[in-house]
Amino acid sequence: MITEIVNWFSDSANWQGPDGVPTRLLEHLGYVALALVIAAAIAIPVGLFVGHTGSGGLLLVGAGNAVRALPTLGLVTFLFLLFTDSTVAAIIGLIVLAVPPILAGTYAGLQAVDRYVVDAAVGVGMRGWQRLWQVEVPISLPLVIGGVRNAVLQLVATAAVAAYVGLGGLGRFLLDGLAILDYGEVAAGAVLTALLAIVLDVLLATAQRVLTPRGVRLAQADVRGGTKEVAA
Amino acid sequence: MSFLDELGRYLSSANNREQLLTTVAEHCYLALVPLVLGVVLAIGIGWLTRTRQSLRGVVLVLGNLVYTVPSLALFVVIPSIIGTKILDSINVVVALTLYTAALLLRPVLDALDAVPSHVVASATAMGYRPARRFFTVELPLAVPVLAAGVRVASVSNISLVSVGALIGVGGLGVLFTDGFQREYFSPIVIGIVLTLLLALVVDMLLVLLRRVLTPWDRAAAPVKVQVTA
Amino acid sequence: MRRRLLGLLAVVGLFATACGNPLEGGAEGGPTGEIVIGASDVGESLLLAQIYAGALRNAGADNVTVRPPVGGREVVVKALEDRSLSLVPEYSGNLLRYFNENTGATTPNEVYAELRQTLPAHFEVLEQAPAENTDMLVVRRELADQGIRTISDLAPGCGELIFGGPGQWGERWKERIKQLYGCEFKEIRTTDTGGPVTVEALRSDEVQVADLFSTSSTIRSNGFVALEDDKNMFPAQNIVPFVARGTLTEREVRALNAVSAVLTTEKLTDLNVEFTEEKRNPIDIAEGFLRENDLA
Repeated sequence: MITEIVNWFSDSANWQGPDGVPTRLLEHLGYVALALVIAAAIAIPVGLFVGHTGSGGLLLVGAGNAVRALPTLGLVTFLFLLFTDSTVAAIIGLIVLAVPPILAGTYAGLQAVDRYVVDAAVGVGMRGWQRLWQVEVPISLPLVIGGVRNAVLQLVATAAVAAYVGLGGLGRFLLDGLAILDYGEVAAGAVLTALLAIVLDVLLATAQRVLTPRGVRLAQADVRGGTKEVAA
Repeated sequence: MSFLDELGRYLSSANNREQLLTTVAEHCYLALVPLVLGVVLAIGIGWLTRTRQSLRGVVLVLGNLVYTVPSLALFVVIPSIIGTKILDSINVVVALTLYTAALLLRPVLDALDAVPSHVVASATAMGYRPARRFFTVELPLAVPVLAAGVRVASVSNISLVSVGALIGVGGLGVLFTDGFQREYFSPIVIGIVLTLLLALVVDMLLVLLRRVLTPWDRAAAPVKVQVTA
Repeated sequence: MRRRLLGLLAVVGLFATACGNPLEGGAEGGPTGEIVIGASDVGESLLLAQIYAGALRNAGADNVTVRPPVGGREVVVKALEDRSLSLVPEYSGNLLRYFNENTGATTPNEVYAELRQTLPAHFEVLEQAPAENTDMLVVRRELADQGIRTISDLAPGCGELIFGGPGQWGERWKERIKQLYGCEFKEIRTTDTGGPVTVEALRSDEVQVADLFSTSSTIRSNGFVALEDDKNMFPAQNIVPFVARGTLTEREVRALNAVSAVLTTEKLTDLNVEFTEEKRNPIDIAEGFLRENDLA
């Protein structure tokens, strides 16, 4: 199998044209990015609103979890029959699957803000908006980005599956190669998809760490020393 | 004809109904066997690495890596790695076992860490040797934390088995490929509904199971569960 | 705790066995073995598989299963080799081309004779049916109304047209269609194997020429026009059971030959309409077909 992969990658024809690695990679990234932006635009405001006002939170997150149980293949085939266009159907499916993790992350992030910190902010005289943007958001940022990380993983995997309903991207190598048992192409597709997912995950993990406010990082380091209680 | 009519027609065929039962049963098997195997694998790895801190880091990174690999990619590559027949459903079982184990590694390690040290100490003082202590003291106390992870893994597995239809493995996924090929809504909708129902039922069973395994929790006052992302 | 663990294991074990074990054993067939029939992605393949299954069961085989459809010929051949499958409904022309790329055979008898000669020893084909399902180049009515009825008519304009078809179409036919008809498409795009993506692409004018199949109901139902293959580029494609040698008994072979004897192109097209347009269950359709043709 290794020789087949190496052969496939060293064949220059596989790096050019509409079926080449660069095109497919960019297509895949494009779908992921587009869906992510739209999903975030929906999920983050909703999550912020619900987390800040504290109402309907459990219901929303519960509904979000239910969506996570949706089978990917079922969703994209259903949407394809509805919209008859591969790309539209796939993007909508991607957005639907990306919203729950981002929503959950945003909500959890706001929940993680210590009541005493919020209280202190009120005490200092901050109004609602100021509290939100200067205190709650920075503290919850790491968890929000955690949600985005989960979403991105879902997106890369789902975009690969959507090749079944005609979408481009790296999934094409997987499915087209499988149809003719070109193990080189299949394995190459698998490797590329996995690498993409891993690289994006590492980038976001770094972002998560970098964007943690210094104060929060110091507080976390403090806690790590002590014993943790078993959560029920 | 309206969608409900179409649905009625689909369900009126005895052969269709029979096929639904078979596919649900297959799906069940393909999702739950890896769940159990994954739990065992994760606990096994947890046991092996709890005393060797360096291995722990490596294992956690590997687990994260495995979980990051997209499902379709893993399904197609496994036959080449472990030499199974290409149409064999075991490829899905192996892949999902790996996912479950990867998902549960961190909860297992955290849960084992969280067992209060005085409890461990008293067990040792009572003469429990490490293995017995592990199975009769530390694991049971770890169940609540594990349960949350297992519930997530079960939902994930049930959802992922459908993707196996793309490599010819049975399960509810065949309803989606069939509906797609014939431009037929009914099997797809039924497939989605059944998948969600199955996830719900399994989730409830797991909650029940957890309550059975932790009788000491019932004695205390009910605790509000924290929402975790 | 030990009791609880055992109880836990018992519950899990019960649940797992209740769900059943879909892990297949071998498909070695024979008097006590299991017969596993496969199908390719094309819908009609599943229909044929169910018809074969019904015929075999009527002939007394009691362990026949039909697997869900998967992939193309390469996957199927591999599966027959390692005996994950015992038999598959196949198309004579494409099957021959798979084993001998440079074959010149075009008529049904030529193709069948050469196929029997060329097949490796561990495979065999049973008797072929008169029914054929050939590739057709299909265009929308608007294009056909410009006077284009055959592929030769299409050839001069190929350079402006985008073609949509299965993944391997380009590799198999690009050179041949250029040689024989002088047709070179502006672009050859992968849609799927005569499935909904191809139909949709043609419908929405994303591609102007598509590769669909002659018994498919979608040509008629969408008002498409199939172009005549006037220079016989596409060889005969008779339906024929492709078998891993040694997996079927004499009686079972006779049952399948009886099915092939009555399967005509019109009947097959009708079956496809029932499957794709009327959305009937394939087993229902197969049972109906076997009954109507006194094969029950």
